[in-house]
Amino acid sequence: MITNNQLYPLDEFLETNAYGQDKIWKETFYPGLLDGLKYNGKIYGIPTDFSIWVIWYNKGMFEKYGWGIPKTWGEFLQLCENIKRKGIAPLAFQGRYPGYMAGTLEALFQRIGGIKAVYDAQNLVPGAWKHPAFLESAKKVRELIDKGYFEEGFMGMSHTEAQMEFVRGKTAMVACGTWLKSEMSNVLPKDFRMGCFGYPQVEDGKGDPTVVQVGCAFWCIPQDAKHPELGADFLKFLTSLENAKGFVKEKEALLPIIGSDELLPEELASAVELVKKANLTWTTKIGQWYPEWQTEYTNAIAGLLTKELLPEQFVEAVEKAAASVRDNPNIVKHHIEYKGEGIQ
Amino acid sequence: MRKWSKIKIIILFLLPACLLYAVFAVYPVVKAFWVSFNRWDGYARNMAFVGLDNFKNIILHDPVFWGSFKNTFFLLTIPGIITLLLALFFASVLSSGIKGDKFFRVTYFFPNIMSGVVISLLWSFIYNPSFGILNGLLRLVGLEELTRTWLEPGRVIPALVAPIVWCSVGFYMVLFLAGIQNIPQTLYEAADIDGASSWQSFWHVTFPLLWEIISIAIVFIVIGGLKVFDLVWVITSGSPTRHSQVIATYMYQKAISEGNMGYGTAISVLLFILVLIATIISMRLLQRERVEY
Repeated sequence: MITNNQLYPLDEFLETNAYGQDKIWKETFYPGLLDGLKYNGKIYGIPTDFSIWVIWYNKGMFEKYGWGIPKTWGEFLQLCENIKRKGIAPLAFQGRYPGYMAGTLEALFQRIGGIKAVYDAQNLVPGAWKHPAFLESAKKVRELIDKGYFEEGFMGMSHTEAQMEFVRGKTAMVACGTWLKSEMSNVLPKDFRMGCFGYPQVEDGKGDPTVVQVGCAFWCIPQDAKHPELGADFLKFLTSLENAKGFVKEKEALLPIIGSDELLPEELASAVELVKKANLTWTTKIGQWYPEWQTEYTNAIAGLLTKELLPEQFVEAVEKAAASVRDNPNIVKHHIEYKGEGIQ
Repeated sequence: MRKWSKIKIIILFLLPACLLYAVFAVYPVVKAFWVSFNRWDGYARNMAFVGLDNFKNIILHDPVFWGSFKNTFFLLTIPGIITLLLALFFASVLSSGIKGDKFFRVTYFFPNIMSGVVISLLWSFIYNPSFGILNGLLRLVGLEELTRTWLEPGRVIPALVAPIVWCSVGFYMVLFLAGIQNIPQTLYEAADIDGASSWQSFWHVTFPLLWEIISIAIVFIVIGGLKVFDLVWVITSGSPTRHSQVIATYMYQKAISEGNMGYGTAISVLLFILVLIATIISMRLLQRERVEY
């Protein structure tokens, strides 16, 4: 829609005062997110519905068995082995949506290869998806499957079914976004406690271990709107600190507005801590930019998870899909700017 | 004069229905035919004319499309044959006046009134590898080795045979029951006197007289099978991978998930042509001598 000139650029409004605060509107958001819908130097979207991709774990279970949060990949593997020995499945997975593994694949990609390698891949640099770090990441996922650390039958479960297994205590952990609690809210047992941790550091990986992947949705104003300034006013109101705090409290979901995280439930607060401690947060955009690539990516992940594709074949397939987008003159290309490994 | 005013009134009464039909059925079909010759993302104001490119790409360069074609064909023939046979069986048994036939008629027909989405959700719980009834029952009777991940990408299409049969049998059973009621009892009595076994009376009396209805049923099954969407879509959670596509879900993915409207509508045009050809062929093949009695 942006490339077809159907959205109204919002820069002029962002420079004006925010609703009920002393800052300008632009500065009320978590830094970096406004770049999400930036094109040709103009901003087209107001960030909302913020989420953080983490590994959730069953606090009660971990306390009962004395398990600790793993700090390295080796510790993580050992933790999975310990969990498995107790007869519990270490990880749940939302198999009917193979795309859920992208979070893990890309987190490991960053931990092993550094954020520049990840950005190169997002920017469709030739060969970027065959980077040894991505191959290594695919191999690690394959290792988790081979060792049986995912719950049996995981490929047949939908996201709610797999997450149910986590909530029921049949699995110890699940990788998911911060929407997990509110998504499962009507089936959570009363005494269920969960916490989260970021992906552990990979030994001899180049990537900063505090980096966290986040995501958000956007509000936009159509180009043909008769009164864009009124739309902007309403959005300012929606994103005002007071409204944001109320939204966060009621929906137990995160908003990317600075200061809205005062009254978070314990689980979300620990996720927000991860973001605050992170040297860099990043968002994957390539699936949004090139939906045909996203389909091939999801198919390739499904192949990797069902063992139909070896890790080498998997990265080959993803690179092939990237090449076909790159070589297609009809698809508008986008770009993420690399500003350094650990800079906000 | 009076004839003309009669015609005017007839046209007046037909107009609303024709208008609705033209706007909501005819216009989208015509527009779809036009879009299939273009490249469009569904949002842009302008479309780019590409002639037969979309069709060429689908037919010549798209293995996923042919995979979806195979899956569609599979889901049309296997469940179709099983449904027909079971429906015929149930109809002939339930028309022979055994005890409890009304109860069974209701029970067998009941799944047919459920929506496709509900049926898929129900069966995805039955097939759930961890807490589903199917694996649970297998474990209970000690057949643990037979438990599977029924809905993983490689198995999901065959797994759909059961829900499709389950929800279709009732409809065709009722259709055949009605047909059987129309067969005069005297023919069965005559067959009985001639010493026919129940199989012989089925094959020589019931089957030929039911043939017209059976052929209509086959045409329904063919058309419905080619268009199947909701069952596949819901049971794969809307994310069919390349192995688990049927033509309609692939069309949705291309047109809407990927925003390639031209390509997706070209698939739907091909589906339209396919259904047309299949219907014509079925009706031709199924024409037999009508048995007069």
